[in-house]
Amino acid sequence: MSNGITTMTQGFLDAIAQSGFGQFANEQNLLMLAPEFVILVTLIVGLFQIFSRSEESQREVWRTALLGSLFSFLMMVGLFCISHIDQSTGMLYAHPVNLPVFHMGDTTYAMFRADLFSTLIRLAILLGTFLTILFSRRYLEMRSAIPGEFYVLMLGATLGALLISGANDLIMVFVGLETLGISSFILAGYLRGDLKSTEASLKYLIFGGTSTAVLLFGFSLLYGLAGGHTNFEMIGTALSQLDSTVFNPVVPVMVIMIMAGLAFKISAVPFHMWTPDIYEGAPTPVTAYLSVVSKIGAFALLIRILAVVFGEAPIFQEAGLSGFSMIFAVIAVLSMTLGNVVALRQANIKRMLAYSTIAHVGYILLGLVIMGSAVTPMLFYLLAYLFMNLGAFAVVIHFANITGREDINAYAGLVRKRPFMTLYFSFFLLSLAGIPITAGFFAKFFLFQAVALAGPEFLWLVIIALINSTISLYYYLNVIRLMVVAEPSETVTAMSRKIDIVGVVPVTACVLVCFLGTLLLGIFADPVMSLTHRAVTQLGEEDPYRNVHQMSAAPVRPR
Amino acid sequence: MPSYYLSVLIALPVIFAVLVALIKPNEGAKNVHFYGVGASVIIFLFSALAWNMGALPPYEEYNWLPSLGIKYAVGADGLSLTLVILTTFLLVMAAVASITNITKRVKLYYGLLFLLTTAILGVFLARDMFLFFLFYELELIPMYLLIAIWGGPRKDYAAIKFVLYTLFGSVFMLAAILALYFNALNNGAPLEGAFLFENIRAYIPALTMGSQILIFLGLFVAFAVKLPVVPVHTWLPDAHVEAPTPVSMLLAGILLKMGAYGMFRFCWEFMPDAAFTLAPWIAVLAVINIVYTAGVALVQKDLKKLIAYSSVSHMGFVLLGLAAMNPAGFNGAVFVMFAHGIVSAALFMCVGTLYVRTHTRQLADYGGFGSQVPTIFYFFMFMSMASLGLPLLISFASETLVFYGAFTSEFFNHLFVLPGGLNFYWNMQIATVLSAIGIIIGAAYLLWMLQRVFFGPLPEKWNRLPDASLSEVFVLASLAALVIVYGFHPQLITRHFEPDVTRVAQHYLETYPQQGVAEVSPSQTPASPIDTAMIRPAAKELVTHE
Repeated sequence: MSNGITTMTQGFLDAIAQSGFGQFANEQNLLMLAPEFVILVTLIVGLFQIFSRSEESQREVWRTALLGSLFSFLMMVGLFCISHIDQSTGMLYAHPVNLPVFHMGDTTYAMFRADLFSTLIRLAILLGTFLTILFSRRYLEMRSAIPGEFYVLMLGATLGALLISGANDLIMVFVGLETLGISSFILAGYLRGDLKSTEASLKYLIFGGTSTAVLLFGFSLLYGLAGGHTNFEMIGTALSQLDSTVFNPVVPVMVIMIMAGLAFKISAVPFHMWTPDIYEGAPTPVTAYLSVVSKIGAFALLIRILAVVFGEAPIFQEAGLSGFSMIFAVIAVLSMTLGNVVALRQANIKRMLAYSTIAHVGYILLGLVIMGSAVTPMLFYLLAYLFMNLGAFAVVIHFANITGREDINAYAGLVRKRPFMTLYFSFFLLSLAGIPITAGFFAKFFLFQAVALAGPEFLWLVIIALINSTISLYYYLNVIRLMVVAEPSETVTAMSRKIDIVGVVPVTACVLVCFLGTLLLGIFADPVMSLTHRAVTQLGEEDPYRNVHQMSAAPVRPR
Repeated sequence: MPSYYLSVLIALPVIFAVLVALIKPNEGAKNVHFYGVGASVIIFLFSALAWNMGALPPYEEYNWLPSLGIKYAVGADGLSLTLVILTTFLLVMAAVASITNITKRVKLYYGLLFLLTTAILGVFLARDMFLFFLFYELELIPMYLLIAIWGGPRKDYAAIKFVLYTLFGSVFMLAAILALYFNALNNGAPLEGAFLFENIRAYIPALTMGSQILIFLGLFVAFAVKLPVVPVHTWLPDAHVEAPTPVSMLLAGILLKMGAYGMFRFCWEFMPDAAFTLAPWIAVLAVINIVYTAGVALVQKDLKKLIAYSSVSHMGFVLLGLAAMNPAGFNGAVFVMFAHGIVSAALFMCVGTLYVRTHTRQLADYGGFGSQVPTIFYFFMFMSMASLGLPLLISFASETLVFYGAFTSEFFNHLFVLPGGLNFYWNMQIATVLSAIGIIIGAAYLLWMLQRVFFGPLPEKWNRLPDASLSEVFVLASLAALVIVYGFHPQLITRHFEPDVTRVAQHYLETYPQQGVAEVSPSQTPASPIDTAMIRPAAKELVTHE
């Protein structure tokens, strides 16, 4: 059946290829950033609507942001289809498309790579943003917060996330991270009257600022070590030429600083302390956004840095569990164990999901221990995680909209009032726990399999991860047990059977998209896996356009 | 037989589960019961079509995850079909039994019941090991909820215990399946269909004996939890006591068969070398299972717990039949699966009828019911007789076959030499004799139970008990009919699975040497008394057979 779908996709892509657009897309590189431009334009339009000061146009911002992000997503889908066809064979294949920004001698280097890897990540980010905007409106209305700026800030954060997912240059990384970070700081404190939200914002600002400073310090050392290059590939080449026999103390300091800075962004233990407080305090849509969209962006950056910058460096060439892969192994084990064990005792559903996020970060980090063959399942895991976690948050927001409650006990007996909502929520939780035929199961299966196959010295990691999965099953099942088995709580008893259509439709749409995503990624895991596999294979490849593009008036056409 | 028949059979209960969700929320419980019974009858009739499959067993195969070699493959041989029919038949019985036993949240109940059915049918029909594992796991969630929602006072404890025990086993099973998969790939199996049964099986001889035994043990532990085998059996009595009657019927009737089926299919059919090596130990477990749990049943104060332990005891005969490794033993084991499915389901139904009337299961509260509820008394007596092995009833036929197989099995004959001249043999003949003690204890606890429930003085408060209702009589009479029919004429059922099962046994007969009952001359006993327990495989010089 999956073959049939692949064939259908191929046929569709062939049709596009023959229409002549493909040639156009490959040559006009700036077109590859069209989704980002759409987001930028939407952001500016939204700003104008805010400044017009009328209540009407304040509310219009939601619609603008929604349509803008949807258009951007669809454009990304279109670009994905157009740019990933090999003209000669008609097969699905990505030409890594770059944005040449500066040149050295007669060579041009890309600051941003629109290869298949970043395209997939950007697709996920845009879909996540669209869904988050979709289910935010009702939440903000219920809390009578000013709606306008929220969406503009979210678009700003998305722009940052999009930039880091394809960033190929230290400057671009920093610009993207800051755009994402500063927007997120304000978003976390968006509920001004709420003390917890304000606290979350301040904490996030302080922790985020510190981590960015550490990261920047690491970048400056890297810049120096690489002989004044900011381009990833140039740095990679320079690092690979370092003399590995001479111990240079700057190298480990630099690596540790960069990794600490990035570990903060993905909230890996021991840089996770900010996560639960901020996830609990921030408005729930922002929590969903931070735990899904910005995590995906940060992981994309981390993978690219490890593959391209450090991929050839001698310190990362040691085989087996040693040096830096051991550090990743320890971080991964700590993250998943702490996340799962602490999640067991949480009474607030947002805090529970925050700790479960830390645990999932731990699982995904296992891929970085192995690199190579384990990056493909990491990418698959990120895609699965997008759907299952965003879906879970959508239900949490929906429940909070109806009842205003966030404690787990309030969910007791939900199945009697909202059977389908319970069904979807249970499905998302089971997927997070890794129960078969959900996306989460295959994500875990592929990842653990890759780790186990890497060698017997990694087997203990798989065993710890399996034990952790069993622990996590307990607290996910506990929520399901409460919803289905327990007698209804007062909150649920007070819920009316009448359904508020205006509030329900956007959330239901979002839940359905996530449900289908989780289900289909589970059933048709194979085509997606081969796609992610191709994306990852391209990641380490030489940039074929490096010596072709010139910053001259008449660019040389690639042949 | 259309080629998509099995997929439809597996999907049918899910479709009914979705349809049941669409019933109006305020629909009366009676109409929902009507729907549930109707749907289960349709499933049963649809599965009964498979009886006429003719010479060509149904089989389907589609690519699912080609990059890992996982296929969606379902097929049915005689063994699978027997258990499928048992499943769908007991589903009808459970649905009818639900009319009197399930009064709250009926819609959700039928939804979960049908989901459970799909998972079980999938387990019996899967022909891809990965698919088998998926269905095996899928059964957990509905069963957990069925116990946790409709159960008795300690339902939370019982339900979570059930889940944790099964998950514990599943980890071993997953490890064993992956080990077999990687073994097949490493030995040059094509990636396409690498998880298929025949593919996995074809490469098992390439494994060393040590790893075969390890993998065998991994699978054995997983299925022993479900069967259940004695050290890991404690979840079952708890689950039975707390589960509502129809769920108990399915639990004893079908869920335990998943363990027995998996054990026969993977441990014995796929890994004969390991099974042959470990057979003496399996026989020990079988004897312990039969005798120990029968003894535990003897001292129970709770009626349902007594029946639960008797159910574990009878599952021990499956293990004994498997340890015999000859055609009679294997056929007997499969026949016991079927017979136990019917008799234990009927016994749990009997317990349920008493419970809905008295709301107690303590034997001390009962007494003198014979005059009050004569119909229930009749069926309870009949089913107890069937359970303790009255000739011409189904348990007698199946257990006799196991005993015959076990007694004529001559694959191993070990001499244990203990200090102080305490030598003893361990072979299937001795195991059979020891197991027979379980039958005697079985007669004791069942007759004693009948005496305490139905005879003696009637307590004042039970003066006005209503006799069995129509639906209860229907369930009990249907099961009783099967007990008689298959007891008188076992070929009606055995002819379906006999060719497949005998083929497996034939491999053992042809491959492994059979020892006679050995005689050991004094000179061959070890001289050193320091060897406290020396296990000596029956060596060539001990053979007196021929």
